[in-house]
Amino acid sequence: MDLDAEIAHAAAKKLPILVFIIEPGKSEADNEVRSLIETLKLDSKAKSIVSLSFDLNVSRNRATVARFHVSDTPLLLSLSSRGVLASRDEKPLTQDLVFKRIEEITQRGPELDAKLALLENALTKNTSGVQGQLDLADFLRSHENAREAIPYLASVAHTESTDTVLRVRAWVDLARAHRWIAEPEKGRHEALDLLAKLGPKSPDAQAGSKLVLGIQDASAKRAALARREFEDAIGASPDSIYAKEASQALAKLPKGGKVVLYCATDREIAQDLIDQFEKETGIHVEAKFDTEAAKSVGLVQAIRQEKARPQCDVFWGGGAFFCTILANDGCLVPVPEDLVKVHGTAPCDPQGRWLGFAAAYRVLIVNTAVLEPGSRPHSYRDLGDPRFKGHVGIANPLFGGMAAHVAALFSKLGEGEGRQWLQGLKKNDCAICAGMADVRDRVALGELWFGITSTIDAHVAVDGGRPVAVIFPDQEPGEIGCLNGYSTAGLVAGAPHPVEAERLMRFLMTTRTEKILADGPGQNVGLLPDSVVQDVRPAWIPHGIKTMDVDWSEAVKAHAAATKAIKEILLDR
Amino acid sequence: MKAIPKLLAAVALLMAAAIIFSPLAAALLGSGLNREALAEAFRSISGPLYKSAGLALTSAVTALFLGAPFAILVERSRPWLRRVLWALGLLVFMVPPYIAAEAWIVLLGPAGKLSRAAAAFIGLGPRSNDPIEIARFAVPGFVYTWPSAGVVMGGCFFPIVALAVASTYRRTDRRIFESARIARGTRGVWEIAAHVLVPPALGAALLVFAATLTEFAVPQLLRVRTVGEAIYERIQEGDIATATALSLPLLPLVVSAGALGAYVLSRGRVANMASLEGEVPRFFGRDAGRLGDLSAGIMTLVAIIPGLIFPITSLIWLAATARLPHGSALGTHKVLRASGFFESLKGAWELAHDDAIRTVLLACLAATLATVFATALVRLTSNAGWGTLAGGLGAGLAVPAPIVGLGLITLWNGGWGTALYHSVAIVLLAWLARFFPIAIFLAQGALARVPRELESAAALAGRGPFERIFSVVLPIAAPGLVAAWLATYILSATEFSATLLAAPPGSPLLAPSVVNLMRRGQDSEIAACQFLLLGVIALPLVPLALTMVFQSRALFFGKR
Repeated sequence: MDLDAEIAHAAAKKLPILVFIIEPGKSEADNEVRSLIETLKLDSKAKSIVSLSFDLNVSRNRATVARFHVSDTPLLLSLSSRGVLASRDEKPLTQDLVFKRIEEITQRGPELDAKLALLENALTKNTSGVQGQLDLADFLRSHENAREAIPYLASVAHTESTDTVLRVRAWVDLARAHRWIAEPEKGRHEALDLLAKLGPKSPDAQAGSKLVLGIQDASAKRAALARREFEDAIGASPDSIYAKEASQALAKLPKGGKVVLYCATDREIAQDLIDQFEKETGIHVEAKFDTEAAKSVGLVQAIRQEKARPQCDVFWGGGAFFCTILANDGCLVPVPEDLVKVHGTAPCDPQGRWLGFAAAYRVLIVNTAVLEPGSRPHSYRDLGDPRFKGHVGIANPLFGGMAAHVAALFSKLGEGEGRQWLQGLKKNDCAICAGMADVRDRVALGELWFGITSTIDAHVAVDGGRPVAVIFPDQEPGEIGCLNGYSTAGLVAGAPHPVEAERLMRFLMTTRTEKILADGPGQNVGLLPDSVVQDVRPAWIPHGIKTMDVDWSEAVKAHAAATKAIKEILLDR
Repeated sequence: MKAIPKLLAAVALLMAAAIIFSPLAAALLGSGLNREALAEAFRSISGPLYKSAGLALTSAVTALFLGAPFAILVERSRPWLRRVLWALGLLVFMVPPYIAAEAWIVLLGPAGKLSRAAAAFIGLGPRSNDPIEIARFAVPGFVYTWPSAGVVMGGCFFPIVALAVASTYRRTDRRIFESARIARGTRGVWEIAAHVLVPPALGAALLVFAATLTEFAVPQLLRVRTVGEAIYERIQEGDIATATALSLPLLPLVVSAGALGAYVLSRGRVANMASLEGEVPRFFGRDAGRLGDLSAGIMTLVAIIPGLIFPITSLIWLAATARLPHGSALGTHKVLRASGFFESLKGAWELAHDDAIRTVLLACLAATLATVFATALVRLTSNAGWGTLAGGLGAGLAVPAPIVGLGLITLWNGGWGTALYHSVAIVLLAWLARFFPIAIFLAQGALARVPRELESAAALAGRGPFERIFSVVLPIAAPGLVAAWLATYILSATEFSATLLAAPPGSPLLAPSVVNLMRRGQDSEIAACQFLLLGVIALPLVPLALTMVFQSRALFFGKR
């Protein structure tokens, strides 16, 4: 059935219209209305109207009635002879109600048609009259005739010479009108167009477009996205009508959402931050942690293994080395540009696929009972010094942080010098310990005199009053500096909760986070621009530490050669 | 009609094989094998393979020599003492081997507390009074060798052998020993004891052998380069298929062990014919007396040294000698750097109590499922004459834990399996894949001790199949089945390598959480975390223990 033709026909006869929208078989109410329509055909009152019924079991009817924003059936609409909508009734639809609507529309229909004609005439007299177009559009929209209002709204919105305030208003209404008649993509497109074209110069345009996008997301049950859009709308123009509407919509949104975090950072370090994030945002964090005893191969491999169907949203930890590997595998996506921008000089992937924060240094931990201050090592090269033969140790360089460390040395020094260093370790009977915590424990016990560990691990022994000292190696001029094994975080490609993930990422990349990490068991040093200004660091870590300049993508390339050398030289394989 | 039991047995075998080997198959086939990488990996594996086998053999022999005498001597002691000694023995089972290995280093390592003291005692200590020379004094020792790692693992796994031997010993009519003594003297007693007890002991030792083969944490700590290291290395490189393939050479070793175990258990049934005359033995032989009690006490002390006494001594020693926290390095901590053991314990509990409850419930469920299914599987396969095939499922023990975890991800993260992947049921699958072979083995041992003749007699008396199971099979097999439940429960609850990969986000389990917390801990805090783990795991065993104490015919520890 051609609805426009039917309306034209009714207009010619000056008969109001009743529209029934039903879906027989769907519910008892739909079936009853179908019977009611049959009864109505026989009634004399019905002769004074045009009665149309649309069965939604016929697919083309669905497209036809989309203009009425049908959310449930059965539905009764009464229209004037020119199609101005006067009333909308949902179930239960009774015969009495139908007769009542017939009487009402018979009386009110001519009045509505007259008003419409008046507004159209006013516009005809002055075709470029913006106000006339808006008045007509307002009238139509107030009667839920959004489809009919669209041409007038589009005309105002897309005319560059029009006043910006009016353009913004028309454009927002245009986007909403499209959404109303079940054209959400067109509505979204209009909202994004508005944002792109008028957003830079008009906060109201930003607020209006974000409001529409938020409404769309909310109706599509994308609560987290909607929340962000509404918050953006409020932030863009707090006093605008759009911001007020966004506030109301925001209040109606369901709380919560969730984000899945794979956390290679120890739970003791991360838990406080997770709790705080949940408290602030209402977003539940489902975290999965790694353990050093499993050589931290777990979560990185889990992300790789899940690549086809990612379950994780944010990966925190693993360091630059493993995050670069994940990024190269296509498991991480770039973070939003503004985050990279505010990251400043803090380390990050050149393509923004991971961000570095919260420094932890690779240091030499020395047993003070066996080595006097004058005889202590000062460089990672001292691991090969014959004076210390049989009393030095490193974590297993095939795994975790030490694998990254050796790869970094190979990329920095070149393969030849890297192999030479490994040969020095071999000659010195360097102990290959289970991990950096194991190196710490063996040194604290006096079994090893010194070894490479991380500040995170070293401080446990310092804190416990063990006879150990921490040396930041290679700080002299011409030396390469100590390795900065900072923490990293990245957004997982194809993550199931991208908005929440971004929010967690933004939460992590703050000075407040780095302060908590500096105070907590991680004893990290702040790297973000504000943290550097505020000097976020534990008291025992000195200023001005010279760090090794590492290109992590080069380190990843050097990894294969480093592993081969480790197996050949250190492990006799 | 005979085809139906065989069909059921085949279905049960296939199901069991699917549970145990599907992660392995998924990991092997899911990402495609790179032939060059595989060839390169195999070229360098002979050394680690040799060490893995040596380590596992040492572990099995240690478990055998600690477990079998422990079980016999403790079983012959007085009831109250027996319960105490068994409690101590089973506590060993709950201490993760890597904690025992750490204690091994602290006490017996080159700078070990005991080794240094012993060296000084026999005059091998430092020759000078210079404090630096004294501090530098190190004892050349055997701690960082594969035999040492084997001893640690065997010391931790000896309860498996002890449980197998004890459950056999309990159901053996001691009159056969008396008869043997009267007929052939002490030699006769030894011969009959060998017939009765060697099969389960050897079978359990083979199980320990298999379980040690893929152990990773202990060899790493004791600097032994095993196949496990090569496998982890490949996993880190993202080459899961090659990592999985590297575990394949271990399978024949474990299959041989499993088949041998099944064979010795079938011989064990012959030795138990003595119990034909009654469901429960009535004659218990001569009282071992005080000397027997003393021997049991000394044996227990010896047996629990590596797995319990050393870890506790080490933790106490380190905690007692730790100095006050260094002010400048003190941070804000939730669990660690609290004001001592009890504060740390409270903090750890607050952080991980949900994990603890989840772990206990899941481990109980896993143990129950494994025991019930293993019992059914063993009954069906032994009736069909396929007992050796069920023994071959023991090959699953050779599948390294991370391969199980990663294989499960490949298998279940997609399609209709996603719902399971998002639930804690995936952890159940991981635990069953890892420990179901142990339940099968112990159930095989338990059911092998049920005389067929008793079942036949019950059938002749008109008892149906289910009645026969409840009135004949279960009462006799109960000790072994309880052992299967206990072993699966404890191993599941303390497992972390596969668990941390498989556990869905937001549903952490206790063992990975505690291991994670312990890395940053001072010694008293590590002790608190360890205590939490042991305490929580032991909690569901309390009702079981109470039942054993108060029932005269308890399943396992009952009065004689």
